[in-house]
Amino acid sequence: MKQIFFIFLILSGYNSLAGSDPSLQITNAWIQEGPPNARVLAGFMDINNHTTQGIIIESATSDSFKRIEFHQTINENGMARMRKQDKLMIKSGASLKLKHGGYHLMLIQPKKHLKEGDKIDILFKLSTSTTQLISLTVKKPTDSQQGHQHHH
Amino acid sequence: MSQNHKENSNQHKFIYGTVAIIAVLAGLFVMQLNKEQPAAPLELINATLLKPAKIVKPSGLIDHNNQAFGLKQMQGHWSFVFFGYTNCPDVCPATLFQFKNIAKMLDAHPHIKANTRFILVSIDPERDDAKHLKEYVQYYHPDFIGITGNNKDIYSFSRQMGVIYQRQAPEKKSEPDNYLVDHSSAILMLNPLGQLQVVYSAPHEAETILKDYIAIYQATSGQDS
Repeated sequence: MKQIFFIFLILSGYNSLAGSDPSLQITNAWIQEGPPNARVLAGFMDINNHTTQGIIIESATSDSFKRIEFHQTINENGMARMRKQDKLMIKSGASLKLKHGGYHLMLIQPKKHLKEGDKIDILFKLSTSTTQLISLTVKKPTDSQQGHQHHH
Repeated sequence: MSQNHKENSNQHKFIYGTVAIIAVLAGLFVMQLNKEQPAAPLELINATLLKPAKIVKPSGLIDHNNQAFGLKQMQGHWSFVFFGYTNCPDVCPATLFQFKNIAKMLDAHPHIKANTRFILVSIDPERDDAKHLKEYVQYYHPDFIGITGNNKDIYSFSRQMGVIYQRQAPEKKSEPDNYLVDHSSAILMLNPLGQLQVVYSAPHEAETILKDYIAIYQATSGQDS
């Protein structure tokens, strides 16, 4: 039972808390599974900054992708527009949800076909001169993750 | 003075317009009464029904098996149509998963399912050839259809369907093939005559789309699920 709980902690991404300090609290970090020939994927997570200072995520890198960019989907006037963000800023005490139809990680050129259940590490470079390793789980979306309307 | 005159004129227009609408509605009511089974008024949650349906004339398009895709292929069934591209990280995969969910929920309505198609039209034909599209759409569902063509024919079809898209400049000059495309987020629907009949505006929810679709299907075909 203890082992199961331990595994749950790892899966939940709480292990990142044990890393360098100050750091962000990351939960629900996941990558949406895509077709085998998808050239881009999207990564999502909930980011909380419980520290006393604002933290900027300056870049993200991973061995599993050629490049990672921060993007924001903007739905306006019936158009879906994608805008690149150079950095993500999370103020002290604030949170940022990376989710469908909003901010997300754009994962460019996966090195292999990622399948449901795979674990992928992504390294955030933070403005606090530290790095933070995030573990993301590859998943197929559930209806609630697709239901944009519930959040509006 | 002229302001008053204008207002009077507008009031007249309004009254005449109202009378005309009432006359048309009365006519329709009579027509409905003459039918054996008068149809109940169609109540839709989110979808917009186009009346009359818009005639579209696709030309030069191919499906993911390199077969011609024209009016003939669009007829005989209802088709959900989304304009997107396979290098799209967020919106297009989300919409295709919703198509997948709708298809799954249609298992409970086999008659409707047999008359329903799901189509992704690539607005990025330079990167989305038939072979690439096939593997991409069939990951979501083996029955989904990918459509591509040349830029001119895709553009023409998109305009007829009321869709706009715009390619962004590449992020890096050294990677000219790495670019994003802004595009309309609506899901369109063709009726069995191959005409644009329904617009499902974003944000989308599979269950809502399905409810509206079943209502439209049953109202227009007079068939049960």
